[in-house]
Amino acid sequence: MLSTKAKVLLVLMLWQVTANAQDTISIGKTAPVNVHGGLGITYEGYGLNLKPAGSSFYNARNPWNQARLNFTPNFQFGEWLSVPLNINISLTPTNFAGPWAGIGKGPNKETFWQWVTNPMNSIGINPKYKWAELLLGTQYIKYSDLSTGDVGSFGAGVNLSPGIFRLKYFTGSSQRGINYLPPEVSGSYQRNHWMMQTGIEKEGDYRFLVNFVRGTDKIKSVTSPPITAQPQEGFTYSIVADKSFQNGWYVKSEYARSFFTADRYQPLDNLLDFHPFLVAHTSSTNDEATQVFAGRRSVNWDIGVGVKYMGAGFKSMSYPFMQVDYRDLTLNTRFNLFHDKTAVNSSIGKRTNNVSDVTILSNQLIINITTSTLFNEHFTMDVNYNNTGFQAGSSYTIYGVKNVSNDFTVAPTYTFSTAKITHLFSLSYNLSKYKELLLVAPFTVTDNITHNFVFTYIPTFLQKELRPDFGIVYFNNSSSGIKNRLLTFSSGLGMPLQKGKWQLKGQLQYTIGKMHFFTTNNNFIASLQSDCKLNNKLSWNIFLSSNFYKYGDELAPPVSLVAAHYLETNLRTGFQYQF
Amino acid sequence: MKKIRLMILVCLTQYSAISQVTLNLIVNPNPPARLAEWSARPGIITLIVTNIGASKTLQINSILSDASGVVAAATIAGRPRLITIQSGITVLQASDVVPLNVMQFGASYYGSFLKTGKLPQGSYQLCVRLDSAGITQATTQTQCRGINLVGLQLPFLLTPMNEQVLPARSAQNAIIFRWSNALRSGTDQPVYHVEVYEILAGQQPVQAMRSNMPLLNASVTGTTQYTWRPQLLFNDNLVHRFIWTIRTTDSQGNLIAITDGSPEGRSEPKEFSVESEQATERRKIETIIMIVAPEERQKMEDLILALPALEKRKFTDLLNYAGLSKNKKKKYITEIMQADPGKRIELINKWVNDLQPSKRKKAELTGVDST
Repeated sequence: MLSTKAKVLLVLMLWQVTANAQDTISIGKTAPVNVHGGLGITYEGYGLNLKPAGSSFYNARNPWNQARLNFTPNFQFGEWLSVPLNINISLTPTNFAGPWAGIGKGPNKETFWQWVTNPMNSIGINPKYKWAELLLGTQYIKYSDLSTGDVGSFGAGVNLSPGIFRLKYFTGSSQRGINYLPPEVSGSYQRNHWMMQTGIEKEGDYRFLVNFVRGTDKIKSVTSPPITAQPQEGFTYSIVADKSFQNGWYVKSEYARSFFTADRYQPLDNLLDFHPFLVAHTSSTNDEATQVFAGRRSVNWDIGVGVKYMGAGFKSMSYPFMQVDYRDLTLNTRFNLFHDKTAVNSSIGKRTNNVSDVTILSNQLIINITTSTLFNEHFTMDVNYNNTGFQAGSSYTIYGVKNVSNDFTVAPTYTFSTAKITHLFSLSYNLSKYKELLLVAPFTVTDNITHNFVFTYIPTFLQKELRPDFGIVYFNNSSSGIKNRLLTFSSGLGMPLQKGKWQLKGQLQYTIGKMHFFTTNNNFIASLQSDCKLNNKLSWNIFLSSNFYKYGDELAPPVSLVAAHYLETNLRTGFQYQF
Repeated sequence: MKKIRLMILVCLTQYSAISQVTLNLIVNPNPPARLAEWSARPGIITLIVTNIGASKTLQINSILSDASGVVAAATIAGRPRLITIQSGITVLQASDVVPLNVMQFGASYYGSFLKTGKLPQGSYQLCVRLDSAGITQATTQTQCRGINLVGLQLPFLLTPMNEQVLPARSAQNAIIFRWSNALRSGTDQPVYHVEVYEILAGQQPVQAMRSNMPLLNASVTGTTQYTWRPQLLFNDNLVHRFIWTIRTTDSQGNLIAITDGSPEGRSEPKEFSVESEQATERRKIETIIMIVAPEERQKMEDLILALPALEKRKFTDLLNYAGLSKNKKKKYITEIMQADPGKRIELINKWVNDLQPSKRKKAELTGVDST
């Protein structure tokens, strides 16, 4: 016989499973076997013509040719079993940042496993039966803010969520070994990960979860080691505790500790004992991070406070770009005024960098206030003020600096309608001041002031489907006596054809630019977008754009670059089949 | 007596031997703050040992002391690093001169080293001498050099802020990027490489940065602001998502630290998006159809698109309104899908009127995004 506790647990689990199954609503009857999803193929072509030809004053910013395939079917068997597949692959590697940069070009052939783990490609399948989910292939797994989240890995794992219980595990490789091949390929070690999460969770109520994440670079995965990357190893554990209360109160918290080796080539350090997490080297560190947020949400007002501390030696292998060594204090609030006609959103945050004293102490301050006021049915106005400051004092070898950014925006919008047309006039003015100060002699001050006016007119025809829009933008930036002015005219026209089955949208933009005492530059951009539904399931998209830019004399000398220009063209077309 | 004579003889021999060894210590006065990186990079510390006598085995004795003379780290007396010095010139690097695995840290410095792999910022003096490996205390002369230790702080990205939504009309004209100064030792001006990547449909933000060609890759020196003219048109029904970062190098294009800071010298990236009025409407429709089961989504989208402009706006604002519960939204969707097409406008107006007057105006005219 089951004990009372076990029965309660069983009922709780069944209730939870039912609740999960009802996350979306279905109006029609569900077939016993159902396949839905999408299949798409896209071609992108890019062209760049420079005059004078052979110059290098402008670089290509897209691949010349690229084809992409996405296939995302979801096989649904009855109510409980689903098998979603996710395939996103690209024909040509275009990696720029990171270890894949340069591979697949010239002699740097990409191996099959490098191709599979290349972030350009994603191949995954996630069969799910009731509360059990299998993870196979490429997966971007986020357990929490401090444990794992940014890195995609190719491997296998499982998510088990019976009732309130959670047990997740995944192991895989986020990058394969890539040999150092100068000058283009910087190379990388193979990085293997495993991650695990266990605990209890009830959606919208509470979470208590413990995460374990490990990443290890395999030293022997390359025959020609990279010179700007060392083999690393890290282990992080974190504890997540969240609770939502009645009346909208909530608390969210996470504590994490990491053990990290920056360079596994360094000798073992017998004085450090990181067992059982890591074998310590002389380049190993051990530090912690924590964050706590609390507040209340409601229809009429929100308030929230937050504290975040990132220790200088904290490092998660799954958040490789995470910056550390700071403490944040934030306060956010939202409330309504004047019989709910004015909505106010504001936040203030103070960041103290270098709390570990290994570099100069610096402070950041961010203040943001946005108000939206509804004066009447026709007239609304948004006002925004943003202040961002950064300050670091002087030291033995660092010159103290102070950066202060002040932005003020006011944006009134006026709307009125007739029987046939609704007119929307919008004006936005932004004043942006940015000051950079050197806090030691010669105390240089760089003042940067920007004025930006945007005028928009959008008529909406209530009985026609034409959607035109018009805009004028004036941008004036001055810094240290150097002025940069832009005057832009833009217009668009949206037009549905064949009872909305074919959507056409054309856009034009012309900009006259003048930088300081140079002669004017000119920029003309045109684009045409066509989304055509060939039938209920198949659609065909075409996007064409052309960007012509003609410089004044700002590139000279040499004289040959006076009035240099380029023409950039983009073609993107694809078929998307929804089933 | 014989033993004493022998001892004196050994001492004299050793003293004579070690006096034939001279040192020249060369250090980078602004080395990387992470001590382990000294061994990973050549040229941080070089000790040139000139031996005009026979080959001999000596032990290295290194002391790193702070500006007030307090020992921050020193080689452990009982665990010497033995080096065989051949006749002629021997060049030793940081891994021999400052072997961290046989060094002991002062009590006030160990905590910082354990947590960060660095010592507190400041001026230090590194003193090195070679001792005879035998029982006597014969040593070479001591060589000392001053160094400044300052940890690297990569720039923090200031604006656009993380997940900031920029209006399409002004963004397609110009976007201003701002970041904080890189804090580091040395007098060389850092070079900031501003990189912007488009996040394509189905891509995660960091995945886009790792996969795509940058739309912008501009080098900036001497200031921490850059005005980008994207030369792209955003005034369509798409939400254009971007991720941006700063890669900081020295004036030669070299990384300013290998294991200190983020990989590749890149600051923690931030996302921003550019959205037109139509894209906002599109996003609101997407939010609604995601509440519906996948096989019904197309039908729901067609239903919304077929509504007259005013009712379409009312309905999308209503279903994106934060004050409306998820169950209420499901109820409205179910009712509108089951309703006769001619009755749908009536239903929408009824639901909007059901809200309190102040909320109704908000739903009609501003709409609050529940996402």
